[in-house]
Amino acid sequence: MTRKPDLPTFLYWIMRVFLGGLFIFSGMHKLFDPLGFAKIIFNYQLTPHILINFAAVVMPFVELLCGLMLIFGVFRISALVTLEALLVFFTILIGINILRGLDFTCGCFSNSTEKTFLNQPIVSFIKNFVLLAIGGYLIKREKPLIKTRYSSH
Amino acid sequence: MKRLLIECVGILMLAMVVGILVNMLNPSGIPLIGDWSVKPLEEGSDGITVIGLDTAYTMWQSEEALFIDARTPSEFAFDRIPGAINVPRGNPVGYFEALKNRLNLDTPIVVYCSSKDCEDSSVIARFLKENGYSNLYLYEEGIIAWDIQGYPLEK
Repeated sequence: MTRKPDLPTFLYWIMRVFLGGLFIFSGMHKLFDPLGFAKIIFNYQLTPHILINFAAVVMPFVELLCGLMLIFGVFRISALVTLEALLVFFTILIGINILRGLDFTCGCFSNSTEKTFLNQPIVSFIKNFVLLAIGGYLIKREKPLIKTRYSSH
Repeated sequence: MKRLLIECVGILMLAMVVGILVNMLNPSGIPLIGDWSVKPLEEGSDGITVIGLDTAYTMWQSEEALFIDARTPSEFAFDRIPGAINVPRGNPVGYFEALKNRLNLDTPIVVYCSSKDCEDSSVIARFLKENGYSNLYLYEEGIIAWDIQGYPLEK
């Protein structure tokens, strides 16, 4: 007899697949157009020129790998923590540029420089907080596993 | 917590190795260190003529000028002014190398990007100027104005 999943478990899975899927989508999008993504990074005007292409080559794979690991449960805590760290980093970058009043597009989930609603810096900024909250919820749910696997004693 | 940190670093290292390998195999791969140092033209730069839509169209019709599209390869793949060649910002040397032998230093070259809002055409015009090309035209209104006017595009 199989046990019916309770609502929190169901929610947990929805959020896990959503967050993982979102980053897989985001990584895949940038993967095939590295120069387009490099230009997005350049437009942020916060990365040293020497690192722009390197970041454009590596970043999509960090997103893709973490997304896959999160969904399939391979080192999922580490994948989740890496994604949260990425989100914090991106949110700070977007925040700095909003404060500087720079005209830029997020490029968060595509390389598009079109000024769509989702591509607006302030929308991306808020969206990142929602994603951070989802990640935070997932980490909270994983506490028992974190304790057994990662506690230092 | 140390174990968590090691795993996170491991993920980043794996992504780095896979990313670099895939980039090497990817036909639209990029050099790991790009050339982002070229700045847009300064106001009133010598040797570069700024042209409008009508002049750009006349030059395109006459087939005497080479059109260079300064946008990214994916934008170029989507649509372009017929006959244009892609020399994107960020990797101009890589793309320009193959083209170099077919051009004289005084071949008329028209450079464009999306619209007046983008500075890529200005950057590539400066790149060409610094490489000795003297017959340069900057078509500032770009492919968007060209499209709105109903002039042909290659897709």
